[in-house]
Amino acid sequence: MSSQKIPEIWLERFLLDELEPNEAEQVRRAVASDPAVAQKLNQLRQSGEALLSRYPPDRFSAKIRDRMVSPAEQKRGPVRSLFFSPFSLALLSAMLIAGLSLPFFWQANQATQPPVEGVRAKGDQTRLLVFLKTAEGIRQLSDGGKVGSNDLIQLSYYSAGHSYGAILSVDGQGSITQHLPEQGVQAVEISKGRATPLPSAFRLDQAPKGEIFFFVTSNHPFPVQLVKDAIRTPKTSWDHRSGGLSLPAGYQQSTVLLQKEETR
Amino acid sequence: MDIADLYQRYGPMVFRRCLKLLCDEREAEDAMQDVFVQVIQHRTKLTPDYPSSLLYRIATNVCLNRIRSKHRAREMNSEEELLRCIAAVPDWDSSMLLEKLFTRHPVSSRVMAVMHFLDGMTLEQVAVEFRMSVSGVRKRLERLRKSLRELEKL
Repeated sequence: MSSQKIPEIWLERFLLDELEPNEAEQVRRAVASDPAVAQKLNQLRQSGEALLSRYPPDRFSAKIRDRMVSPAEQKRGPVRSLFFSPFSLALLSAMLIAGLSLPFFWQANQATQPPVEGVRAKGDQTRLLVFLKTAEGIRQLSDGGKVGSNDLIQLSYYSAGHSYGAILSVDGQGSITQHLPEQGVQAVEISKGRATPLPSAFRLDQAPKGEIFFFVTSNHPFPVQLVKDAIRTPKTSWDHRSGGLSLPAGYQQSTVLLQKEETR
Repeated sequence: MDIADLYQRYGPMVFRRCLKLLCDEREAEDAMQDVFVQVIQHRTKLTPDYPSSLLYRIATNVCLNRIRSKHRAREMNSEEELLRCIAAVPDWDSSMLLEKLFTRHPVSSRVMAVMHFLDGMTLEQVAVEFRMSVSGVRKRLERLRKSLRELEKL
Protein backbone atom coordinates (compact mmCIF):
# COMPACT_ATOMS: atom_id res chain seq x y z
CA MET A 1 0.00 0.00 0.00
CA SER A 2 1.40 3.37 -0.90
CA SER A 3 1.61 6.33 1.44
CA GLN A 4 -1.00 8.14 -0.64
CA LYS A 5 -3.63 5.68 0.40
CA ILE A 6 -3.04 6.21 4.10
CA PRO A 7 -4.61 9.54 5.13
CA GLU A 8 -2.49 11.66 7.41
CA ILE A 9 -5.19 11.64 10.06
CA TRP A 10 -4.88 7.85 10.18
CA LEU A 11 -1.17 8.16 10.93
CA GLU A 12 -1.92 10.72 13.64
CA ARG A 13 -4.53 8.51 15.21
CA PHE A 14 -2.28 5.47 14.85
CA LEU A 15 0.32 7.23 16.99
CA LEU A 16 -2.39 7.98 19.54
CA ASP A 17 -3.71 4.44 19.43
CA GLU A 18 -7.12 5.77 18.46
CA LEU A 19 -7.62 3.99 15.15
CA GLU A 20 -10.20 1.30 14.57
CA PRO A 21 -8.48 -2.12 14.62
CA ASN A 22 -8.93 -2.69 10.88
CA GLU A 23 -7.53 0.75 10.05
CA ALA A 24 -4.61 0.24 12.43
CA GLU A 25 -3.84 -3.02 10.67
CA GLN A 26 -3.79 -1.22 7.32
CA VAL A 27 -1.33 1.31 8.72
CA ARG A 28 0.90 -1.44 10.15
CA ARG A 29 0.97 -3.18 6.77
CA ALA A 30 1.77 0.07 5.01
CA VAL A 31 4.59 0.83 7.46
CA ALA A 32 6.05 -2.61 6.88
CA SER A 33 5.84 -2.46 3.10
CA ASP A 34 6.39 1.20 2.30
CA PRO A 35 9.46 3.03 3.64
CA ALA A 36 7.81 6.37 2.86
CA VAL A 37 4.97 5.64 5.28
CA ALA A 38 7.43 4.47 7.93
CA GLN A 39 9.45 7.64 7.44
CA LYS A 40 6.38 9.83 7.64
CA LEU A 41 5.34 8.17 10.87
CA ASN A 42 8.80 8.72 12.28
CA GLN A 43 8.70 12.38 11.27
CA LEU A 44 5.39 12.81 13.07
CA ARG A 45 6.85 11.31 16.23
CA GLN A 46 9.91 13.54 16.08
CA SER A 47 7.98 16.73 15.35
CA GLY A 48 5.70 15.98 18.31
CA GLU A 49 8.68 15.67 20.62
CA ALA A 50 10.13 18.88 19.21
CA LEU A 51 6.90 20.80 19.80
CA LEU A 52 6.54 19.60 23.38
CA SER A 53 10.15 20.47 24.04
CA ARG A 54 9.82 23.94 22.53
CA TYR A 55 6.41 24.59 24.00
CA PRO A 56 6.08 22.60 27.24
CA PRO A 57 2.65 21.59 28.56
CA ASP A 58 2.81 23.75 31.68
CA ARG A 59 3.56 26.86 29.62
CA PHE A 60 0.81 25.99 27.17
CA SER A 61 -1.83 25.41 29.83
CA ALA A 62 -0.96 28.75 31.45
CA LYS A 63 -1.45 30.43 28.09
CA ILE A 64 -4.81 28.76 27.59
CA ARG A 65 -5.99 29.83 31.03
CA ASP A 66 -5.01 33.40 30.18
CA ARG A 67 -6.92 33.28 26.95
CA MET A 68 -10.01 31.85 28.49
CA VAL A 69 -10.35 34.85 30.76
CA SER A 70 -9.34 37.45 28.20
CA PRO A 71 -12.41 39.29 26.89
CA ALA A 72 -10.48 40.62 23.91
CA GLU A 73 -9.67 37.12 22.76
CA GLN A 74 -13.21 35.90 23.35
CA LYS A 75 -14.56 38.62 21.10
CA ARG A 76 -12.31 37.72 18.23
CA GLY A 77 -14.16 36.10 15.39
CA PRO A 78 -13.95 35.51 11.67
CA VAL A 79 -14.40 38.43 9.33
CA ARG A 80 -15.84 37.71 5.96
CA SER A 81 -13.23 38.05 3.26
CA LEU A 82 -13.94 40.50 0.51
CA PHE A 83 -11.69 38.74 -1.91
CA PHE A 84 -13.15 35.88 -3.84
CA SER A 85 -11.94 35.08 -7.29
CA PRO A 86 -15.01 34.44 -9.47
CA PHE A 87 -12.82 32.36 -11.70
CA SER A 88 -11.66 30.12 -8.90
CA LEU A 89 -15.15 29.77 -7.49
CA ALA A 90 -16.50 28.83 -10.88
CA LEU A 91 -13.68 26.40 -11.40
CA LEU A 92 -14.16 24.77 -8.04
CA SER A 93 -17.88 24.53 -8.65
CA ALA A 94 -17.24 22.92 -12.00
CA MET A 95 -14.79 20.54 -10.40
CA LEU A 96 -17.29 19.55 -7.76
CA ILE A 97 -20.00 19.08 -10.35
CA ALA A 98 -17.84 17.00 -12.59
CA GLY A 99 -16.13 15.18 -9.75
CA LEU A 100 -12.77 16.02 -11.24
CA SER A 101 -9.59 15.62 -9.30
CA LEU A 102 -7.54 18.28 -7.55
CA PRO A 103 -4.53 17.80 -9.85
CA PHE A 104 -6.68 18.96 -12.74
CA PHE A 105 -7.66 22.02 -10.74
CA TRP A 106 -4.01 22.76 -10.10
CA GLN A 107 -3.12 22.58 -13.75
CA ALA A 108 -6.05 24.73 -14.79
CA ASN A 109 -5.30 27.39 -12.22
CA GLN A 110 -1.61 27.78 -12.87
CA ALA A 111 -2.01 29.82 -15.99
CA THR A 112 0.02 32.81 -14.88
CA GLN A 113 3.07 33.08 -17.08
CA PRO A 114 6.32 34.50 -15.75
CA PRO A 115 6.75 37.71 -17.68
CA VAL A 116 10.35 38.58 -17.02
CA GLU A 117 12.45 36.25 -19.09
CA GLY A 118 15.69 37.71 -20.20
CA VAL A 119 16.13 40.01 -17.23
CA ARG A 120 19.76 40.08 -16.25
CA ALA A 121 21.03 40.85 -12.83
CA LYS A 122 24.68 41.43 -12.29
CA GLY A 123 26.86 42.46 -9.44
CA ASP A 124 25.27 41.51 -6.15
CA GLN A 125 25.45 37.90 -5.04
CA THR A 126 21.81 37.94 -3.99
CA ARG A 127 19.32 40.25 -5.60
CA LEU A 128 15.58 40.63 -5.56
CA LEU A 129 13.92 42.07 -8.64
CA VAL A 130 10.45 43.55 -8.44
CA PHE A 131 8.31 44.29 -11.46
CA LEU A 132 5.01 46.08 -11.92
CA LYS A 133 2.64 44.48 -14.39
CA THR A 134 0.24 46.84 -16.12
CA ALA A 135 -1.91 46.80 -19.22
CA GLU A 136 0.89 48.67 -20.98
CA GLY A 137 3.56 46.17 -20.05
CA ILE A 138 6.08 45.43 -17.35
CA ARG A 139 8.51 47.76 -15.68
CA GLN A 140 11.05 47.13 -12.97
CA LEU A 141 10.55 48.90 -9.67
CA SER A 142 13.52 50.18 -7.76
CA ASP A 143 13.92 50.24 -4.00
CA GLY A 144 11.59 52.97 -2.74
CA GLY A 145 9.42 52.69 -5.86
CA LYS A 146 5.86 53.95 -5.78
CA VAL A 147 2.92 51.58 -6.10
CA GLY A 148 -0.80 51.63 -5.48
CA SER A 149 -3.36 49.27 -4.04
CA ASN A 150 -4.33 46.52 -6.49
CA ASP A 151 -1.12 46.86 -8.46
CA LEU A 152 0.02 43.55 -9.87
CA ILE A 153 3.54 42.68 -8.76
CA GLN A 154 5.86 40.07 -10.20
CA LEU A 155 8.90 39.00 -8.22
CA SER A 156 12.08 37.58 -9.61
CA TYR A 157 15.34 36.65 -7.92
CA TYR A 158 18.99 36.29 -8.75
CA SER A 159 21.55 34.36 -6.75
CA ALA A 160 25.14 33.96 -7.83
CA GLY A 161 26.25 31.64 -5.08
CA HIS A 162 23.80 30.38 -2.53
CA SER A 163 21.64 27.36 -3.23
CA TYR A 164 18.67 27.91 -0.91
CA GLY A 165 16.36 30.86 -0.62
CA ALA A 166 13.11 32.30 0.65
CA ILE A 167 11.20 35.44 -0.29
CA LEU A 168 8.78 37.09 2.11
CA SER A 169 7.22 40.49 2.45
CA VAL A 170 5.59 42.56 5.15
CA ASP A 171 3.02 45.27 4.58
CA GLY A 172 2.33 48.48 6.44
CA GLN A 173 0.04 46.66 8.84
CA GLY A 174 2.70 44.10 9.70
CA SER A 175 1.05 41.28 7.78
CA ILE A 176 3.65 38.87 6.42
CA THR A 177 3.26 37.11 3.08
CA GLN A 178 5.34 34.14 2.01
CA HIS A 179 6.19 34.23 -1.68
CA LEU A 180 8.93 31.61 -2.02
CA PRO A 181 8.07 28.97 -1.19
CA GLU A 182 4.40 29.88 -1.37
CA GLN A 183 3.74 27.07 1.08
CA GLY A 184 6.02 25.04 3.25
CA VAL A 185 8.26 25.73 6.18
CA GLN A 186 11.70 25.32 4.60
CA ALA A 187 13.63 27.51 2.19
CA VAL A 188 13.75 25.93 -1.25
CA GLU A 189 16.54 25.17 -3.65
CA ILE A 190 16.92 28.12 -6.00
CA SER A 191 18.32 28.66 -9.47
CA LYS A 192 21.79 30.12 -9.61
CA GLY A 193 23.36 32.58 -12.00
CA ARG A 194 20.20 33.74 -13.74
CA ALA A 195 17.19 35.89 -12.95
CA THR A 196 14.32 33.58 -12.12
CA PRO A 197 10.72 34.82 -11.93
CA LEU A 198 8.35 33.32 -9.38
CA PRO A 199 5.60 31.24 -10.97
CA SER A 200 2.80 33.65 -10.08
CA ALA A 201 2.29 37.36 -9.62
CA PHE A 202 0.31 38.84 -6.77
CA ARG A 203 -1.85 41.88 -6.25
CA LEU A 204 -1.19 44.43 -3.53
CA ASP A 205 -4.05 44.86 -1.12
CA GLN A 206 -5.35 47.94 0.66
CA ALA A 207 -2.78 47.89 3.46
CA PRO A 208 -1.33 51.36 4.06
CA LYS A 209 2.27 52.58 3.60
CA GLY A 210 3.49 49.86 1.27
CA GLU A 211 5.34 46.57 1.25
CA ILE A 212 8.92 45.53 2.08
CA PHE A 213 10.25 42.44 0.32
CA PHE A 214 13.07 40.27 1.65
CA PHE A 215 15.02 37.71 -0.33
CA VAL A 216 17.22 35.63 1.99
CA THR A 217 19.66 33.00 0.79
CA SER A 218 22.07 30.53 2.31
CA ASN A 219 24.26 27.63 1.28
CA HIS A 220 22.18 25.35 3.48
CA PRO A 221 18.45 24.69 3.87
CA PHE A 222 16.92 26.92 6.55
CA PRO A 223 13.48 27.38 8.11
CA VAL A 224 11.29 30.11 6.66
CA GLN A 225 10.41 30.90 10.24
CA LEU A 226 13.89 32.35 10.68
CA VAL A 227 13.02 35.07 8.18
CA LYS A 228 9.57 35.62 9.68
CA ASP A 229 11.08 36.05 13.13
CA ALA A 230 13.62 38.52 11.77
CA ILE A 231 10.86 40.48 10.01
CA ARG A 232 8.85 40.69 13.21
CA THR A 233 11.60 42.52 15.07
CA PRO A 234 10.94 46.22 15.65
CA LYS A 235 13.90 47.06 13.44
CA THR A 236 11.90 46.20 10.33
CA SER A 237 8.71 47.99 11.31
CA TRP A 238 7.69 50.85 9.08
CA ASP A 239 8.65 53.41 11.63
CA HIS A 240 12.15 52.01 12.07
CA ARG A 241 12.91 50.50 8.71
CA SER A 242 16.60 50.39 8.07
CA GLY A 243 16.79 48.18 5.03
CA GLY A 244 17.85 44.82 6.34
CA LEU A 245 17.11 41.89 8.57
CA SER A 246 19.25 40.79 11.49
CA LEU A 247 20.29 37.33 10.38
CA PRO A 248 22.97 34.91 11.57
CA ALA A 249 26.25 34.60 9.70
CA GLY A 250 26.10 32.67 6.48
CA TYR A 251 23.02 34.37 5.10
CA GLN A 252 22.71 36.96 2.36
CA GLN A 253 19.75 39.16 1.74
CA SER A 254 18.27 41.63 -0.67
CA THR A 255 15.53 44.05 0.31
CA VAL A 256 13.16 46.12 -1.78
CA LEU A 257 10.74 48.60 -0.30
CA LEU A 258 7.68 49.73 -2.24
CA GLN A 259 5.77 52.77 -1.06
CA LYS A 260 2.07 53.27 -1.56
CA GLU A 261 1.27 56.35 -3.66
CA GLU A 262 -1.21 57.57 -1.07
CA THR A 263 1.49 57.77 1.59
CA ARG A 264 3.91 59.91 -0.37
CA MET B 1 -8.19 15.43 31.75
CA ASP B 2 -6.53 18.77 32.48
CA ILE B 3 -5.22 21.20 29.88
CA ALA B 4 -1.60 20.11 30.15
CA ASP B 5 -2.50 16.43 29.73
CA LEU B 6 -4.81 17.17 26.82
CA TYR B 7 -2.15 19.25 25.14
CA GLN B 8 0.61 16.74 25.76
CA ARG B 9 -1.42 14.04 24.09
CA TYR B 10 -3.09 15.95 21.25
CA GLY B 11 -1.05 19.15 20.91
CA PRO B 12 1.40 17.82 18.34
CA MET B 13 -1.37 16.53 16.09
CA VAL B 14 -3.35 19.77 16.35
CA PHE B 15 -0.25 21.88 15.73
CA ARG B 16 0.73 19.87 12.64
CA ARG B 17 -2.78 20.21 11.28
CA CYS B 18 -2.77 23.97 11.81
CA LEU B 19 0.73 24.33 10.36
CA LYS B 20 -0.24 22.39 7.25
CA LEU B 21 -3.23 24.63 6.58
CA LEU B 22 -1.80 27.97 7.70
CA CYS B 23 1.89 27.51 6.75
CA ASP B 24 3.09 29.78 9.53
CA GLU B 25 4.42 28.45 12.81
CA ARG B 26 3.33 31.38 14.91
CA GLU B 27 -0.13 31.48 13.42
CA ALA B 28 -0.36 27.71 13.81
CA GLU B 29 0.53 28.02 17.49
CA ASP B 30 -2.10 30.70 17.91
CA ALA B 31 -4.70 28.61 16.09
CA MET B 32 -3.76 25.62 18.24
CA GLN B 33 -4.56 27.69 21.30
CA ASP B 34 -7.96 28.54 19.80
CA VAL B 35 -8.62 24.85 19.30
CA PHE B 36 -7.81 23.99 22.90
CA VAL B 37 -9.82 26.93 24.24
CA GLN B 38 -12.85 25.59 22.36
CA VAL B 39 -12.24 22.09 23.60
CA ILE B 40 -11.79 23.18 27.21
CA GLN B 41 -14.93 25.30 27.08
CA HIS B 42 -16.89 22.28 25.89
CA ARG B 43 -14.99 19.59 27.68
CA THR B 44 -18.10 18.18 29.34
CA LYS B 45 -19.35 17.23 25.89
CA LEU B 46 -16.21 15.38 24.91
CA THR B 47 -16.88 11.71 24.35
CA PRO B 48 -14.26 9.24 25.47
CA ASP B 49 -14.04 7.50 22.13
CA TYR B 50 -11.40 8.87 19.79
CA PRO B 51 -11.09 12.57 20.78
CA SER B 52 -8.36 12.88 18.14
CA SER B 53 -10.94 12.79 15.39
CA LEU B 54 -12.88 15.65 16.93
CA LEU B 55 -9.78 17.73 17.62
CA TYR B 56 -8.59 17.26 14.05
CA ARG B 57 -11.89 18.54 12.73
CA ILE B 58 -12.02 21.48 15.11
CA ALA B 59 -8.46 22.39 14.10
CA THR B 60 -9.44 22.27 10.43
CA ASN B 61 -12.45 24.47 11.10
CA VAL B 62 -10.47 26.99 13.16
CA CYS B 63 -7.92 27.27 10.35
CA LEU B 64 -10.64 27.71 7.72
CA ASN B 65 -12.06 30.59 9.74
CA ARG B 66 -8.62 32.17 9.95
CA ILE B 67 -8.06 31.75 6.23
CA ARG B 68 -11.44 33.35 5.58
CA SER B 69 -10.53 36.34 7.72
CA LYS B 70 -7.29 37.06 5.94
CA HIS B 71 -7.58 40.23 3.95
CA ARG B 72 -4.59 39.66 1.74
CA ALA B 73 -5.31 39.95 -1.94
CA ARG B 74 -2.24 38.11 -3.13
CA GLU B 75 -2.76 35.81 -6.10
CA MET B 76 -2.54 32.45 -4.46
CA ASN B 77 -1.45 29.07 -5.59
CA SER B 78 -4.18 26.55 -6.26
CA GLU B 79 -4.03 24.83 -2.90
CA GLU B 80 -4.39 28.12 -1.03
CA GLU B 81 -7.10 29.15 -3.46
CA LEU B 82 -9.00 25.95 -2.85
CA LEU B 83 -8.74 26.38 0.90
CA ARG B 84 -9.93 29.96 0.64
CA CYS B 85 -12.85 28.92 -1.54
CA ILE B 86 -13.92 26.30 0.95
CA ALA B 87 -13.39 28.67 3.84
CA ALA B 88 -15.52 31.27 2.09
CA VAL B 89 -18.58 29.06 2.08
CA PRO B 90 -20.98 30.25 4.76
CA ASP B 91 -21.72 27.90 7.60
CA TRP B 92 -25.35 27.12 6.89
CA ASP B 93 -25.75 26.05 10.45
CA SER B 94 -23.33 28.58 11.93
CA SER B 95 -25.34 29.20 15.06
CA MET B 96 -25.26 25.52 15.80
CA LEU B 97 -21.88 24.73 14.34
CA LEU B 98 -19.95 24.52 17.56
CA GLU B 99 -22.68 22.51 19.17
CA LYS B 100 -22.71 20.18 16.22
CA LEU B 101 -18.96 19.80 16.36
CA PHE B 102 -19.34 18.45 19.83
CA THR B 103 -22.20 16.08 19.19
CA ARG B 104 -21.55 12.43 18.71
CA HIS B 105 -21.60 12.75 14.93
CA PRO B 106 -20.12 16.16 14.20
CA VAL B 107 -20.70 17.34 10.69
CA SER B 108 -19.05 20.16 8.77
CA SER B 109 -19.16 20.08 5.04
CA ARG B 110 -16.26 22.52 4.82
CA VAL B 111 -14.06 20.20 6.84
CA MET B 112 -15.21 17.30 4.68
CA ALA B 113 -14.28 19.24 1.57
CA VAL B 114 -10.79 19.94 2.92
CA MET B 115 -10.28 16.29 3.77
CA HIS B 116 -11.49 15.13 0.39
CA PHE B 117 -10.05 17.73 -1.96
CA LEU B 118 -6.95 18.84 -0.10
CA ASP B 119 -5.93 15.89 2.04
CA GLY B 120 -6.73 13.45 -0.73
CA MET B 121 -8.98 11.22 1.31
CA THR B 122 -11.44 9.14 -0.68
CA LEU B 123 -15.17 9.62 -0.26
CA GLU B 124 -15.21 6.28 1.52
CA GLN B 125 -12.50 7.36 3.97
CA VAL B 126 -14.26 10.65 4.64
CA ALA B 127 -17.50 8.76 5.17
CA VAL B 128 -15.84 6.50 7.72
CA GLU B 129 -14.24 9.48 9.45
CA PHE B 130 -17.58 11.21 9.84
CA ARG B 131 -19.50 8.00 10.43
CA MET B 132 -21.72 8.77 7.50
CA SER B 133 -22.66 6.97 4.32
CA VAL B 134 -20.78 7.73 1.13
CA SER B 135 -23.97 9.12 -0.35
CA GLY B 136 -24.30 11.35 2.72
CA VAL B 137 -20.84 12.77 2.11
CA ARG B 138 -21.68 13.28 -1.56
CA LYS B 139 -24.78 15.21 -0.55
CA ARG B 140 -22.75 17.40 1.78
CA LEU B 141 -20.27 18.22 -0.96
CA GLU B 142 -23.17 18.91 -3.30
CA ARG B 143 -24.51 21.37 -0.76
CA LEU B 144 -21.14 23.04 -0.63
CA ARG B 145 -21.15 23.29 -4.39
CA LYS B 146 -24.52 25.03 -4.29
CA SER B 147 -23.17 27.54 -1.81
CA LEU B 148 -20.27 28.23 -4.12
CA ARG B 149 -22.76 28.92 -6.89
CA GLU B 150 -24.51 31.39 -4.62
CA LEU B 151 -21.19 33.08 -3.89
CA GLU B 152 -20.53 33.44 -7.61
CA LYS B 153 -23.70 35.51 -7.90
CA LEU B 154 -22.50 38.01 -5.28
